[in-house]
Amino acid sequence: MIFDSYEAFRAVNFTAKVCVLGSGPAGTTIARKLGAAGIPVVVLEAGSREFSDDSQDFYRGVTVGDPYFDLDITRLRFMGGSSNHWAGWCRVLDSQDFEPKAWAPDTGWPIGRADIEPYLPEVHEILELPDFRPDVPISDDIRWVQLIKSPAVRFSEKFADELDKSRNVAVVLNTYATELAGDGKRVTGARLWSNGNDAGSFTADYFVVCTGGLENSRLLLWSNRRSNGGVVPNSTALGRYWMEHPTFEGGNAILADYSEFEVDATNEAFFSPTLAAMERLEIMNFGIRLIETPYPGIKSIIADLACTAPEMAEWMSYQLSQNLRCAAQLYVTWEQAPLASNQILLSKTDVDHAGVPRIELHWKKSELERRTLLEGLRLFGTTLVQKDLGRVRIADWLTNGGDYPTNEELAGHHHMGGTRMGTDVTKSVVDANSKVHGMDNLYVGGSSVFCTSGECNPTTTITALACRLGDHLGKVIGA
Amino acid sequence: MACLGEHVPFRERYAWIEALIERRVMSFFTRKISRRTIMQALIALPALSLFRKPPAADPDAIVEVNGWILKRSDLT
Ligand SMILES: Cc1cc2nc3c(=O)[nH]c(=O)nc-3n(C[C@H](O)[C@H](O)[C@H](O)COP(=O)(O)OP(=O)(O)OC[C@H]3O[C@@H](n4cnc5c(N)ncnc54)[C@H](O)[C@@H]3O)c2cc1C
Repeated sequence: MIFDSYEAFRAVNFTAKVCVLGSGPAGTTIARKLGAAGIPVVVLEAGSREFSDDSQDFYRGVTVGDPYFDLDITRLRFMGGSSNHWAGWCRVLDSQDFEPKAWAPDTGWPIGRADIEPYLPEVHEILELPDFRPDVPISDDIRWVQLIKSPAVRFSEKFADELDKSRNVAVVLNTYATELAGDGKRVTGARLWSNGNDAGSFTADYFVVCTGGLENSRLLLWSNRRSNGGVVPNSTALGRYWMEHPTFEGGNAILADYSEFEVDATNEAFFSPTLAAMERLEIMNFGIRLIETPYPGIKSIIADLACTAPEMAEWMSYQLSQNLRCAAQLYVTWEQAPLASNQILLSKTDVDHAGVPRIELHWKKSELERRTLLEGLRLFGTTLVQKDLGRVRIADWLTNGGDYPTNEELAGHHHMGGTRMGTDVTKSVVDANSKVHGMDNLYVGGSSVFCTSGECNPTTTITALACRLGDHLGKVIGA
Repeated sequence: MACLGEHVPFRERYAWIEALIERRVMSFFTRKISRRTIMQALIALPALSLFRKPPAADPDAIVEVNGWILKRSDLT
């Protein structure tokens, strides 16, 4: 069932066992799992069926630190959430991403990749993915990895019909949960705002917060303040360890034979380090994206090489005359070291139309990340030389210690951390089952529970974790 | 004294050599233009090796010059 307002929903007699907040990939997946298990669930969705400027306005906020996207641009607030404009790039976090790294504090998850693997067949169905091929090591340091560019499933389009027909799932649109109330053990209700007005409160036995990787922290910070710590009793880490995937062009490569790597439909290939290389260099994970350079760009790269290694350049010119595909731009995306100082705070000065403080995002890239970027490119360049696959040129701004360019992609629109998973209540917000520490009936879905970000796009892992949480809750409720 | 008339047949006969020499000279010239680069290549070598007879440098060693990650032998 889908209702266009809270009033319409109230008119029917539907008692929900679970209340899911948000209908993006995380919320929709959890609700479908519970519905399929015969558990009545209500999904409260702040936005409507379509994009609207009025709804987006609730997402405005400010960023302090490094340049970042406007907070009302980097996500979507309507049914289906940001899946309405995600690019559909998919990959699951590697098993090494879950492991603690001695050289990077506060890394390591309380679960491993094996805990989400059983859910991957479901994820493949949801996201319409073919099987991933195994990584191909091209040296002891570098793996050629696969990132699948999927058809970018729009969750609202794909599942609207199913949800509308469902007897167990009620999706209630235009219904903004402005705060949760709690007594330090349980959430007792959600305060609602619908069609521009306070709409009273709603209760259910269980609550699952799936409002996105920025909003989860905002909602819980505000709820906790209003309930004097009754929603997140251990709140030291709440809003903290926020992460993105910074993305910059880090250089170019000339390849002896471009066809050495089978590229995808858009002529791109992806490379990541091995755990051994990360350990040796004490760097974070990264992904190098090889994008074929158009012909005019190649000439200037070869001219540049001619200044340094003329004979090599001559040989490359020959390659170019034989095969026009021989150069690539290298875009690097990397894993941020989790830092408590990268955090979501509530604005002291600005509130949205419902009176909820807006986000003040504090975000800065660290020295370790800068080193990851530079050493990562060196590692890739060294592998290409050693295997006689080509040569890499690192961008001047990187070798000269210059500032990050401001005219580039900046990051991936991947909002991770803030309610991270862990066992130490001073450094995490949820436990290994995504349940808020100390609370009996409050769970969190989405990438805000990520302890570390790995280098790959998050939604495949978000969906896997959502299947796992749906399964877990189903068992808890059924027991 | 050699006169122009004597040279012409010689030149014509060996024109291909001249073309070859010209290519060599040009290639030498191209290298000469990038003095900064040669300096950087030298800097990439351990400083002391300039003053004592260098051990045969490993041609496969990785060097970083002008941001390029290269094999030392690429620089020859
Ligand atoms: C331009 C762009 C490209 C992207 N490309 C990729 C990609 O290629 N691969 C990839 O893996 N990821 C990509 N992403 C990220 C991806 O979209 C997100 O990871 C994913 O949508 C997160 O799912 P979610 O359910 O956790 O949150 P969201 O999708 O943000 O959904 C949250 C939902 O909650 C609702 N909501 C918010 N607050 C409340 C409230 N208080 N009460 C009720 N409802 C509320 C919102 O309206 C929304 O519908 C991209 C994102 C963007 C913006």
